[in-house]
Amino acid sequence: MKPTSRALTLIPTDPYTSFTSQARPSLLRLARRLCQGDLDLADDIVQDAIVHGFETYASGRLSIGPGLRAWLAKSVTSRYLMSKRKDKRLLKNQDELIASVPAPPQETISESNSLSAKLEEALDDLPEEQRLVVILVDIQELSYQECADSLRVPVGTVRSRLSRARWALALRLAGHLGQTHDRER
Amino acid sequence: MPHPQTKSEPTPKTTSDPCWHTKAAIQRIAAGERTTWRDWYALVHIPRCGQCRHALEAMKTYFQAIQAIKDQGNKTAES
Repeated sequence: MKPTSRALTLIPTDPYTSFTSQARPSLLRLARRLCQGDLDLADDIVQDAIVHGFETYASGRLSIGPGLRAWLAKSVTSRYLMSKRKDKRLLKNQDELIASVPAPPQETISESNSLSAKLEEALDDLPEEQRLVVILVDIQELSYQECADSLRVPVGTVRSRLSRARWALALRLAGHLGQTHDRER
Repeated sequence: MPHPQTKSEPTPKTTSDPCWHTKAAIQRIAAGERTTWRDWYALVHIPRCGQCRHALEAMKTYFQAIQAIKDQGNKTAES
């Protein structure tokens, strides 16, 4: 019963807890970005990932190090994808319910002209698979391989999706800047 | 009658669409990655091509925006 005894000795000053308390804000940001504002779901996903990470750590299959943050980010991503799949299955049987759900108000979109706000806005309009790749590789700084592992797609797919997404976002930002410059003139 | 899958007209190019052969190099240059010998053509071509210059500017803006998002995240984490 080595894992259990190790688990018991972890509380309260174990390295895993202190590591995750530092990593938690960035994991929450990642989850909130993935969930597009569903804060409850994001909190649940992060909590699940940290608990699952603890179990894996306690069983000795995971060690504290640079790879742990990426492992947790991957875990958050796969949990988000699982929740999406579950949602799809539920909604498939409830078409009437979907029709009855009111569309989110357009006014909630930030009117800020800052670059990052515009990028966040454009990011929400991207196809799901491209949005995930941008968040994981460009914002969370996961490697192509780590991103491919968490999305369960080949590295080449990650590269091509990222390239398409970057161009779509860059051209949209450029269009926005062009409009702003025209207005300023 | 044209084949249904045949495009009758090419996709219109926007003002910032780069030439196809510089697309990958422009991303590397804008990201500040080290360019390789394969990028020499792009490095010669971009200053002479208006569309590629605009595309490079657009891609630089994209990476600035990404950096801004990361900075915001770091500030939130610190506070």
